Amino acid sequence: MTVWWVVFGLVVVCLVMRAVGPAVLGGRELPAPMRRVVTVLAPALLAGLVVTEIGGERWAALDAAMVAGVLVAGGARLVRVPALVAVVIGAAVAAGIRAFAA
Amino acid sequence: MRFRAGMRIGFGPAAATLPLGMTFGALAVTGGWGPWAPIVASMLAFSGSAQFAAATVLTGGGGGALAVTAAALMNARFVPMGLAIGPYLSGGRVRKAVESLALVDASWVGAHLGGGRFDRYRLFGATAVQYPAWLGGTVLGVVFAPSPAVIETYGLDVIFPAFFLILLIDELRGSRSRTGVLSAVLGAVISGVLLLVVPVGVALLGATAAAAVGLPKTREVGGEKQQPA
Repeated sequence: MTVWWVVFGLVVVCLVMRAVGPAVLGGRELPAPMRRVVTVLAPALLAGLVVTEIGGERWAALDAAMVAGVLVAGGARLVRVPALVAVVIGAAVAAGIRAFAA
Repeated sequence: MRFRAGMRIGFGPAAATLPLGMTFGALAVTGGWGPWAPIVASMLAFSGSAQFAAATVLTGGGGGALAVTAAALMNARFVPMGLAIGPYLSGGRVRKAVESLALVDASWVGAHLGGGRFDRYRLFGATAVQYPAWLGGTVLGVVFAPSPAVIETYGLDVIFPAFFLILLIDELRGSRSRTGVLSAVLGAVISGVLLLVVPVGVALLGATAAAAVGLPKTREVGGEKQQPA
């Protein structure tokens, strides 16, 4: 039963967090200073996502092969390799390092 | 056309979402959720980070309230993201709230045109390909329950952070904004330090504080985002 209550709470939380901003603001534009903040919100969030995905809870998930794979994928993208190909290269590098280390 | 542009943006994250969905499905089943609860969660909550947080807390012996709280902390970032994109959604408050249900990280970034402006069709297009990948991945995970070792062996755990890094590179390359670079560096540092002492969701929410560097008025080069490849 607990699991279904958690699923219910999870669904409510996810719906409310997404909807509260647009519902509160309605059709009004954000004030200029807030718009400037929003402009640079995406880079901050993406950088945070990269770090938290790599580090995990208390940096316990940190793994050299994963870091290498992510960096190689980023490097490939910097030299204009298509995004999907860059990710495949990154995953292959991580898999290769792990296979070599095993 | 704009919807298709969104779909093209969504294909990459969708490819990353599939194995993650499988991992969630497998984790939930081994944690005693049964086959239907993880599928219903993915169908209605559609939030990998929140679902992983809730499943991890439950599996680790935390109660239901703690699991939902962890999910709420994980998803608190959607509040500022929703505030930002709200004016670009259609209709009144209720319709905007309904349209905002398409909000996920990669879609929000893909819908950002630069200068704080958003395209709702790109948001919908990007989400339209990620949703079936997440739900389908969960179903596959529930049915086949691959071990985390399989995900690791094939380097599939690299997919998500690699895609976020690629989206970041595209975002910064498109905007050519020094403030954007500063925001990214600060976001990385803040989340990295916070990770040491708080849960992942809170660290992620903390990263958004770095966007405060956008508050002072500065002259920036560019500002328009290029079409991602």
